[in-house]
Order: sequence, then structure tokens, then C-alpha cells
Amino acid sequence: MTPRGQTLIRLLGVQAAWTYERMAGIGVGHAAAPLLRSHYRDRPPEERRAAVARSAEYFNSHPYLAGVAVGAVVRAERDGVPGPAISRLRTALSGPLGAMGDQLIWAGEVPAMMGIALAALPWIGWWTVPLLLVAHNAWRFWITRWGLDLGLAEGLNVGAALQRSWLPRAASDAQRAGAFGVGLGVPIVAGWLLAGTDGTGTLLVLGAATAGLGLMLWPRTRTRITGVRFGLALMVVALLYMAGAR
Amino acid sequence: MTLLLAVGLLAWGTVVAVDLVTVPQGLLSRPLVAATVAGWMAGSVIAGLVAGAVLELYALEVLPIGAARYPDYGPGAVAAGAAAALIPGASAIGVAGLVGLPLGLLGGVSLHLHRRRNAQSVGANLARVAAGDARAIWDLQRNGLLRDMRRGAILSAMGLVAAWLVHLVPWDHVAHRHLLDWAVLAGGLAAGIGGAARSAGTGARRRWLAVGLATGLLVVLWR
Amino acid sequence: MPLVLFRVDDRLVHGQVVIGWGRPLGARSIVLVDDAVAASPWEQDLYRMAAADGVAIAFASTDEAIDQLPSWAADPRATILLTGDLETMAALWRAHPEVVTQINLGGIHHRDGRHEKLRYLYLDEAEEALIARLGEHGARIVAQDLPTSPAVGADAL
Repeated sequence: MTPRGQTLIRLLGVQAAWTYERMAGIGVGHAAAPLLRSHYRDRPPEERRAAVARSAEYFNSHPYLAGVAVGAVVRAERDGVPGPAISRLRTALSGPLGAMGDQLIWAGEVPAMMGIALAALPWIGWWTVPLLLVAHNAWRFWITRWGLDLGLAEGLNVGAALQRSWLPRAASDAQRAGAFGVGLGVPIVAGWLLAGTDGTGTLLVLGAATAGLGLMLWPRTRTRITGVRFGLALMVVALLYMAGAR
Repeated sequence: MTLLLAVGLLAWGTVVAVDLVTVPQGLLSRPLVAATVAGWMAGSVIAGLVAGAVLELYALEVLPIGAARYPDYGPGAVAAGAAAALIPGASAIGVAGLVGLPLGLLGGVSLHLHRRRNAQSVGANLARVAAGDARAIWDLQRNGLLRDMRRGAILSAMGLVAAWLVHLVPWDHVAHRHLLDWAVLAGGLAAGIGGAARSAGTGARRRWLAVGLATGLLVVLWR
Repeated sequence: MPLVLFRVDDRLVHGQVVIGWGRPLGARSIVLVDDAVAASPWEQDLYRMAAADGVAIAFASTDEAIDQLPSWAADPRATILLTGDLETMAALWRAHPEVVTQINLGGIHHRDGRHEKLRYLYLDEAEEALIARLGEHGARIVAQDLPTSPAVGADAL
């Protein structure tokens, strides 16, 4: 396999050694290693070791976009950019790639996909699952490859290239898609799960859900009340009632 | 549950746990996926699908940004999907809540501990990493993966124990058991919509959430 | 609703700031106070992308920020003020303690000499001493990475 191919595969596991201290730094170093090894094959070993050490310093971004940084750093090493400037590039890429990735993927594509999957359940049942996996992973692999290739092509100019690319606009649009997808999917799947429930049950569920929603959004309680805490509390109440009724 | 099925579920739960953060982050860890496959393995794909759908509502709340702590619903969803398929008389929704939600929170704690162990491992090899030893970086990655597999296997085993405990309940004789379903579902609805509303913030995204909700409600009424 | 958050975060503009805090606070603007970024157009381009989606971003050096803090405070848009290190935020607080009402320690990460206080907060001795001094002089300092995480007072660090 080519060094680029190896790096691409390794980018799928960029968070394997994630820590609070270095975050994804070790994973980025691991992903960059095949390309760095190839570049430094005929150079003094201390140069290669310095580049490897730099590649594994603190780094944090969205994992799907880490390839942009890996590619840019490797290209900068190939271009003979001084070490401190390369470290500065890594640091500067970290926050923006994290912010855009979080908007594009975690707050955009994933909720959109899951919302649509939930909405599709009543019609296509379990077929939703393989379709979801194929669609998401095709996209996940494509964006990883796109990011690596962009970084390798642009090096220190990767910031300007990112700005010209589809990414900033998509990060913004994806969040609207995510919000719409969840909005669409939740009532449809709730209707599907509530099928056969009588009017009283439906009203109780909707009433309790509205109360929970209020607590999650009310400024005084929103920092303490999460959906899972609220759900567990409701479950305890239900279990106590059931135990008392026996 | 046969030994083969238990081993299969343990293996699937481990894969699911590793997918969340380590590799390949391909949505295998989403409850909808994890529980449906587990239900299929245990003989009822539809029971797994129902358990997965209700736990997915809770997972919609999770926004794994930065170093934030969040639940790991995957291995719990595997146990919940299997339990929903295997336990006669119990509702898939109630079982999903009983097995999947506590395991999800425990999964979040285990992820935090896993990261601590990773940090110890990196700390012990810091000199080699700082010296540019590629072998040390490779070892840290491999050990991180193995450590996460162990975390996933332990969580999955705990999930199967939880499922076995739920199986001991004589569900056919439990009064008002639909209350448990309603509680789990109501919590899920609050989590799904509340999480989306928090994540959407203000402005256009919240409007799109409202449009989605309105469209979804219209579809429900139309059906 | 002017300056709604004064955050120290060495990752500068990233997901926790844009989504984690920006959404619940309804932030329409981010001010990034960092001498290096203020002098680097290509880094500004990167951070501008990170704050996309209807959120304006401005860059300032420490001296510029000290001059402009009162006008930012008078801006009707909800604004997050961000610095990459504690020293910069301390300089802003010293200049305008009436504006910098509470300092949020959101992310100061590991480097040589720093010790872990919280999973997202590593401090060296000089930084600990600075926090103590600021506290003695009346600054309110709270560590909290996300609005849904528990807030930890400076005394408990």
C-alpha cells in the first residue's frame, strides 16, 4: 500500500490514544508517520525524528478533518518549512478544524442522518440501518480523503484553500439540515413507538416530555437537567408506582 | 441465551464501543444500529429496532465536542436490543430504558477512565515520543485500541448481566408495566427535542428545527 | 446583552466556544484577543471560518482590546471575549474590572511545568499564583468547559 493509503487508513483511528493532555496528538503522529517515513527515507535520521516528534505534539480537531492538518504538516515538512512555523500551523489549524467539523458533522450531518433514519423507520423498518451505515461511511471516508489531499496539495496555504472550499458554507448549512432532520424524525418515530397506546397514555407521555423539555431549556435548570437524567428520574417514579401497585 | 449468542453479543458490543471514539467512528455505536443488529442476532430484529429507536432519542442529545464528557450508549444498546428480543412478556421500550440508560451513563464514566489510562500510558512513554521514536507512537496507538476493546468487552458483559437481571422479573405479572414504557419514551422525547433545541441555539437553526417538527407532526397526523 | 462570556481557552475558536457556549448564550459576535493572531492575517482567515454561520469575529491585540473593551461592552450583540492565556485576560481585568465581571477558565492544556487541576485545566505555579492574586483583588474566576458541566470556583482549584 502507498504511504498515502496507509495514512488514510490510520486517519480512521486518529483518536485511539486520545488523552486530555495531548488530545489527538499521538493519533496524528501515527497517521503522519508513513508519509514522513517516505519523505525522510534518504535524509539524516535526526531530521526524521524531529519531524515525527513535532507530528505527535498536542493537537485537537474534529477527527474527520484531522487529515487536513496531517496533509498540510507533511507538505510543509517536504517544502522545508522551519519546525517552529510547522508547529504554529498545527496549532492554528486545531481550533478551526474542530469548530467546522463539530458544526458540519456532530451538529449537522450526524443528527440529520439519524433524524432521517428515525423518520424512515415506519416505512422501511430495519433496512434503515444498512442504508444509514453505507451512506454515512461513504461520506466519512470521502471527507477524510478530501481533507488529506487538500492538506498535501496546499501545505502552509491550506487556510486560504479551506476558505475557498465548500467546507465553511457546508458547515453552516449542515446544521440547519441537522436541526430539520431531528425535528422531522422525533415526532414520526414517537408516533410509531406510541402506536397502540390509548389517549391517556399518549397525553401522559406528551405532558411529561413537555415538562422535561421545559426543564432542559429553562435557564435556571438547563445546566443540571439533561434528557437522560430526566428519563431516569421518570423511570424511577414509574417503577416505584408499579412496585406499590403490586 | 446460548453460549454462542453470548459470545457473539460480547464481540458486537466490543466493536460498538470501540467505534465510538477509537476506530472507525462509523456510526456503529449509534443505539439504532447497535440494538437492531443485537436484536437480529438474538432472533427478533424488530424488538432490537424498537429498543434502538427509543435509545436513539436519548443519543440525539449527545454533542461530543472537545473534551466534553458524554454517555456511551453503544454497549448498553447491544444488551438492550438482545434483551428486548429474548425476554418474553417485557416491552422493548421499557427494557431499553432499564438496561440501556444506566449502561449508557456507566459507559460515559468508563470512557473518562479509559482516557486517564491512555494519559498514563503516554506519560510513561513521553521521552520516547519527544525523541521522535515512531515505534513508541505505534505502541501507544495499539495499546489505546486494546484498552478500548477491553473497556467495550467489560461494558458489554455488564450489559448482558443487566439483561439477565431484567429477565428475572416476571413481566407477565407486573401491574401497570406500560408506565415504564411511557416514562422511557417521554424522557427520550425530551432528550431528543431538548438536545436539538440546545444545539440549534437561536436564529435560523431553531427555525429549521421548528419546520422539521411541524413537518414530522403533519406526517404523523397524515398516517 | 453585550459581553456575555470572558473565556480563557488556548484552543481559541473551536467547537466548545462556537457551539457549546455560543448557542445557549445566543452569541452573535466573538472577540479574539491574542497578540500573535492579531498580527497574522492567515491565522485570522482560519479563525474567521471557524466562527462562521452568522457569528461575527473581531481580532485585537491586548493593547487594542484594553482601549476597546468599553465600546464592546456597549455593543447590543451578545459577544464572547476569548483569550488564549490567563495573562492576557488578567491584563484586561486589571484595566476594566467593571467590564470583566467573571473570568471563565475553559481550556488551558498540558505543557511542561503545568499540573492537572481539572481535565481541561492545567496550570503552572505562576498561573496558580496569578489566579490567587486576581482572586484577592476581587476578580471572580470560575473553571467550566461547557455550560452543562459543573462550575468550579477558583478556591477549589
